[in-house]
Amino acid sequence: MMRMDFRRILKSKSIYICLLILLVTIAGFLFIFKLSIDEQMRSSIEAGGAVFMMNGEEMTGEQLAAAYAKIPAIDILSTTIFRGGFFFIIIAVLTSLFICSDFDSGFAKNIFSLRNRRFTYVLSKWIAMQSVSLVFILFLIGEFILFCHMFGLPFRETPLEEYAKFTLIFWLTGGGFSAMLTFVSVLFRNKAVSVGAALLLASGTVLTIIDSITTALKLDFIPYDFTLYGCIQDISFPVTAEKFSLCVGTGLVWTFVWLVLSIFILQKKDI
Amino acid sequence: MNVVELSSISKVYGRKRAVDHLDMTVQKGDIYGFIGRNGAGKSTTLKMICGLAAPTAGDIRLFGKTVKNDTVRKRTGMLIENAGLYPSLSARENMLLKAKCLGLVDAAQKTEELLSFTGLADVGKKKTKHFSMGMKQRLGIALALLGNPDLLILDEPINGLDPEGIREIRSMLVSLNEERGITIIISSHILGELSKIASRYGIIKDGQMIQQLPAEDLAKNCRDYLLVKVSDTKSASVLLEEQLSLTDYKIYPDGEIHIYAPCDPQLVSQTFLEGGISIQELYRHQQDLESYFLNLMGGEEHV
Repeated sequence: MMRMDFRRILKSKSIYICLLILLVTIAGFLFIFKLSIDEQMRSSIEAGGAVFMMNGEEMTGEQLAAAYAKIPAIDILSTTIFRGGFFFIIIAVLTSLFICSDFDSGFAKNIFSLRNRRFTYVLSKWIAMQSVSLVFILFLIGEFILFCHMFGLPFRETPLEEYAKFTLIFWLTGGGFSAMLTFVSVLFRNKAVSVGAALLLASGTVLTIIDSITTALKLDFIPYDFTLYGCIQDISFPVTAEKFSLCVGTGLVWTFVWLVLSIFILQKKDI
Repeated sequence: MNVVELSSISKVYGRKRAVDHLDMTVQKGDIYGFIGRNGAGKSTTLKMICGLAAPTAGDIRLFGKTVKNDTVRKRTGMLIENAGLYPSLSARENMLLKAKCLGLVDAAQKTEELLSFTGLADVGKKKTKHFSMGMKQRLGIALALLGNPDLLILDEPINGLDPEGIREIRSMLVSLNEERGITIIISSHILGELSKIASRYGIIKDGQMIQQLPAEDLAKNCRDYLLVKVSDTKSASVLLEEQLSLTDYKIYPDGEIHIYAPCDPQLVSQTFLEGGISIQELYRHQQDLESYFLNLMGGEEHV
């Protein structure tokens, strides 16, 4: 089944479109950084009324460049599309589309008529999406490093070890989101519902709403740090061992929970 | 050898019993025509045989083994309701994906053979969302044939097809059965078409199998008869037996007699009139599969 899934991924336009969106987004972010420290580009923007500020203070290009030099490059990368959840949204939406199209099209009948053990379906989909996720992260890191050099951005150099930790953290937490949307997709088998859930869950909207409600009701016992979105919110690089373990552990546990629930639902429901 | 054995299969959805203690046997080499009204439980039964739905009770055996056995499942090809096709992919690509799922080594070769067999060799890169209904059904059959199945399960494969399309599918199925020895279970509303190919029938009503019989027996049940409507069936039956030596007949309510034995209508008419029995109607009746089925179902309702 994995061969089938990998073939489908390679033939899928949406995978390439999503990768392009992510690459363009990172490039866009880096371009804005470049804009802020390049005097020529800055002056033309400032002529239009723009103001460059950092931590509430208006700063010159040189001041900004000096400030950037203190920030690890990997920390900048994590603030672009990762910490805010955009990367997770993309992975979650792709997972939803990947699975729901099996049911929408009816091709699921061809798959499940051959296989009694439905856990193979769930695992195959998750492994396929995790492979996509890993390729995406590596491409994005490569692009980030390349564009930083091209634009001459003065971020503090990051050792390879931090890039590896970064990859593992966001790959595993992304895997948790992928597993979550696998559950939603096999439960509802509806693209609209699954994509909607992907947008709400992976962006942290649901968590934010629950947080607001529990804060208002003074219910402080809910451990948001142990949620997929919550664990990466206050992450900074270089990451501490404690934070690294929290993120990796949270990703693994939630992946396991959602995959088990997905298999359970699939066993219970007819195709 | 029984290729398919269903023992007291039931499927319950909430309070509704879609299939109710159904027994079914399909022998090797059969083209088994599965007949029933809309909502009778045909599709549900076929889905359970394919492993797409789990029975609430009962046992299903394919080739003597449980339906949960993956090896046995790979010996089965199915086309249930509409053909499950990715709309943005070509016929070839849909076939290759299923071939990968099956783990076929010669996926490309098999794909070309089956597309050629089903008349889809020239579709090129056309996406299946642009296919006609007939093309989709043929591709569905091609998908079902991947992996050289020994059992083919087709749920209404000729729905939506024009007469030419129906003829093509029919000859394809006969060829598969006769030349490759594939056992076929086919459900259809178009009973006339089914009667041309089926070697055995199963008739389902309200989730229960009411009759399983070979085609020859069905032909006997659907045979010609002389219908005579008389005022006094008792006296008429005496005359038939004593004067005309006819014993192969049945008496129905409202004075109807169906005479199945070969006889001369004029002689029958003359005998009754001489015997003082008035005749209200007399004509030769041919019952086709549809009429037989409708009678079993209890009247003029949609198949």
